Amino acid sequence: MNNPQPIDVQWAWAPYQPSAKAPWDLRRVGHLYRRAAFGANWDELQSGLRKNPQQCLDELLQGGPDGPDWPESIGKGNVGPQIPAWWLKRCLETRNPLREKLAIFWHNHFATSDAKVNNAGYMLGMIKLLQRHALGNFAELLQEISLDPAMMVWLDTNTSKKGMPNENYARELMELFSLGIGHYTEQDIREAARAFTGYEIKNGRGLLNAAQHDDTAKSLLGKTGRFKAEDIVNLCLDQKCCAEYIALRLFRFFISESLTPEPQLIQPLADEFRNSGYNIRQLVERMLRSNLFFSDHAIRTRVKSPVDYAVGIIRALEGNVSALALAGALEGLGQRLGYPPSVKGWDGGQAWLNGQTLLFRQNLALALSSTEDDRFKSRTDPARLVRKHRHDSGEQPVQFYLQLFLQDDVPAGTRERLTDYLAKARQQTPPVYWTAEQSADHPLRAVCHLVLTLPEFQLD
Amino acid sequence: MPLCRLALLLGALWPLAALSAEPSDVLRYVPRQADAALIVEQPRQLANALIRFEPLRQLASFAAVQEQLEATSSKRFLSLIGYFEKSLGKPWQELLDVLAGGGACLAIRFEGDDSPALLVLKSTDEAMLHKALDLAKDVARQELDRTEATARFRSVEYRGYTGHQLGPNAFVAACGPVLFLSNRAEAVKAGIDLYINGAHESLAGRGHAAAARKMLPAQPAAWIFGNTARLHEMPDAQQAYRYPKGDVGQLAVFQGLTDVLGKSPFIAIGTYLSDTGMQTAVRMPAGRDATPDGLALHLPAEGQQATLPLLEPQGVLFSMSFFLDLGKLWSERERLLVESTRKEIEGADQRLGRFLGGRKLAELLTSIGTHHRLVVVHQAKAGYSQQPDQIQPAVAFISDLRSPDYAAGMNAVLRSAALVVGAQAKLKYKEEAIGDVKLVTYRFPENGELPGDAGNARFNLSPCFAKVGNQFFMASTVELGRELVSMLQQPEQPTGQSTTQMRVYAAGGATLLSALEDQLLTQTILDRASTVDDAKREAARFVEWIRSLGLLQIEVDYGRTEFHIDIRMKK
Repeated sequence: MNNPQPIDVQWAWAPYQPSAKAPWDLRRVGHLYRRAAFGANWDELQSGLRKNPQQCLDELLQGGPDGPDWPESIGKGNVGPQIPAWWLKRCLETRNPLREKLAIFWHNHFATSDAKVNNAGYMLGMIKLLQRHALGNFAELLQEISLDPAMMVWLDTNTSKKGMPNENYARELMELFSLGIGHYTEQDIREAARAFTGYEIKNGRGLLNAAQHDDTAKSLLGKTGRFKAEDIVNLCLDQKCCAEYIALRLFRFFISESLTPEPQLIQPLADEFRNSGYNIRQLVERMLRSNLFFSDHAIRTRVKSPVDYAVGIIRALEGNVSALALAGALEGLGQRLGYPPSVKGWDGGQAWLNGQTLLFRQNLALALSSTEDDRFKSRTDPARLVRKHRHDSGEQPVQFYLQLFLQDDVPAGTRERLTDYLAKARQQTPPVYWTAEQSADHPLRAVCHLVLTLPEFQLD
Repeated sequence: MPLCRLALLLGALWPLAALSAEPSDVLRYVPRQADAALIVEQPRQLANALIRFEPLRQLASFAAVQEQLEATSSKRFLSLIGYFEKSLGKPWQELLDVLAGGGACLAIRFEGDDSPALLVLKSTDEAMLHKALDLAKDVARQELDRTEATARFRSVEYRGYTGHQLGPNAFVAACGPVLFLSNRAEAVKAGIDLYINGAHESLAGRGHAAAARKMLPAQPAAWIFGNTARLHEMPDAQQAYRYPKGDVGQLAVFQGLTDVLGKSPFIAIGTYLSDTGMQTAVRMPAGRDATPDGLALHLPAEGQQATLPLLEPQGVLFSMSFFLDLGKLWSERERLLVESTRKEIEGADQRLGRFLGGRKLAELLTSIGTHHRLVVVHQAKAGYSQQPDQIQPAVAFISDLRSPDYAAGMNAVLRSAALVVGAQAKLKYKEEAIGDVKLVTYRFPENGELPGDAGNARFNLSPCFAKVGNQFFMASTVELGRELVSMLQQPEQPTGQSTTQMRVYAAGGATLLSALEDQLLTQTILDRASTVDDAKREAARFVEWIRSLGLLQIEVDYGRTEFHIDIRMKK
């Protein structure tokens, strides 16, 4: 979508201060928690409303302590199919949701799939690397990812030898990981590929075997030298377009995927990113604290990814489900963590939604709200939740679910239809053998399911 | 789905019924065209046995099972049972007596995805059965209304009885004290025909069901009658039954079972439950007589003992002892094998010499004995200073030799094989003297890496072999090999009547699971959404539950005209 009016750059990146025109309300609290976390539960929303945006952001950036370490059997046993579940469980339970969310962003950026790597230990090593650097330093991340064993297998660096260089990593380093198309030549790739020869995986680490390395001079990106892998990464980082490319990717992730930003809108962010020595936290913080982030340009301008959709529901319902079952369900929705479809990652945006995935989203919403699905059982129970928060009488449940999941951001007609539905559902005669509690709970769960299938709820 | 709920209700009532002094005649109402039937003659006794069965009682205390019992569908089911109890004025145990006290049977005719199935319940109180059916229909109607389904009950008259149809695949009718429920109208009609006409065309009247029931030990908790007539008509089955045969592997492994199945008009399977144990008996009315004279690889001469005692090294998970006369495969090849297969074997005899250390295949087949044993053992630690990422069980195969002199021949065969494998994996050869026995061992070097073995799985293996008396064995680890040398030096004689006996040891399985604790924990954490601490507690309980299961023993016996498999789970 092109913007009818250019966005004022000064205003855009100035820190957001609540005002009558842009108040710190439930809508903005929910937006912050959706983008910088996996959505909020009822207490987080209410608590966020009582705080100011700066306090909320400080807490999200700070995060909390990590949980206890897990057994290492997934890597040791090479149980690849458990990787998506392992990651989803972290997303469900983490006290550092922003870090986890960014790790998924970097997973999509440096898209690597166990379908080819076929080594769960390498894959977990890479995911932990992404988590470690998620809010750290991009230059260090790019250096480490270049010799990460999973990446070396994925893009064939481990088989690239002197005299027979493989160009896969050199190409993606420039095209997808750091510069973007149009900022390098085919000759640059061929030269860089020679610098990446001779790297092997020894004891789970990428190491240089000098005997297989092409140590002759290479010329690329305006420089000449007997470059090794590290030098090529540094050459990429030295390019002005590198910061612009990464800032734009993060803009699409945090601000809007439907907005096409003018170069001058991204430039201040890119300059700061570069001048900070590629400090990711500083760049992310600048975006999240901005007027633009809390404006209508950003709110609900992305399509929720399957992970955001499902984890958001479960966290909001204060549930705790089988990660294996959830991973299986998300595969149908088009996202299997650890198994992106190609080196370009998931297309995202509107590509998340089609006839089939929408149906699967509705089915998953039903499974998570009905308590009748064998995979999730009663672990996410909307009826229990409204009772816990004492919003179970009259029209309260509709109001509660709309505030919890959509922060009331729906047309009035939608609210009326849901209220009517709940009233009619309560009037229906339940099967004669149901207990009073079963009869009372069923309409509550049904109306929650309807909220989760609203078009607005598919948007981030 | 209302239909499902109706089926659920009736299905739930089926396994729970009354003690009856007389054997059930429920098979009188099952059409003889059925291919298989599951019969519960005394449903209440089965229900009581399941409730008292200790392993199930323990299992019910696990969080995963508790959660299932607390699930909405389970709660609604219990509400449904409660509603029936209240409406019919009896607790469920008594309802079981009344509604299915005459027996219950689920019969099926295999016709692909839409196979017709028929559930028959025989009540001891006709009025109560009809009342229960009316109640079930009311509940189903309410479910249909609640879910705004378009399907409605439709009454269907047949020979003076009123049946009820719900949608295209649900039919139910009550005739006197007998209830029929099926996915096909024809099946219910056939049941009504039997009710009116008598049992002549039923499984009880025309089939072999009575003979099958007689072959089983008394008072099964549930039993299955399998009609093999249609199986025998299938071209693939006829091919498998015929001599000479084309598949050597199938002949060596399944000859006995295939021959018996080919001659048996039915198969009977019964299950028996006590408070702490369980037994399953499989019976067929053919035995040694099913295999042509002199061609049985799987049978010793009549009256001879068939198997050596099971070996039980430390940490045993599985032990098997069986009779197999591979020598006959060579000496009787003209009668046993089709020409093309025979020629392949004769060609192999000529060609394989250099891979068999200069020995002939015929010599190998006719020199190894007829008593074989297999053991799988959990070993807590691999015999290397470096440990594999995942401990794998050790395996050994033990066979007797017709002539102890052939040990030299086996030695040559195995050394040739080791030479081929060892050259690629750089295996180190070593001989170890244990008393008079020479244990030949191979080990992987511990320095360096082996391409493709990132998890160091090779350190689970230190293959070895040895001759002990007239026994020869190959083991996957030296540690197991040493233990076998010691065990095989004890005198032993064939003792078993069974041609195959096996044991699965829960204690060994529990120890193996303990060694695989990390995998168990990860699976629990991911599947149950547990914390690490909760997963540890649950996994430890699960291991102890496995250990408490005792052992599973399987014995295969060929009588002159009967075939038996007995599977016993006991403490």
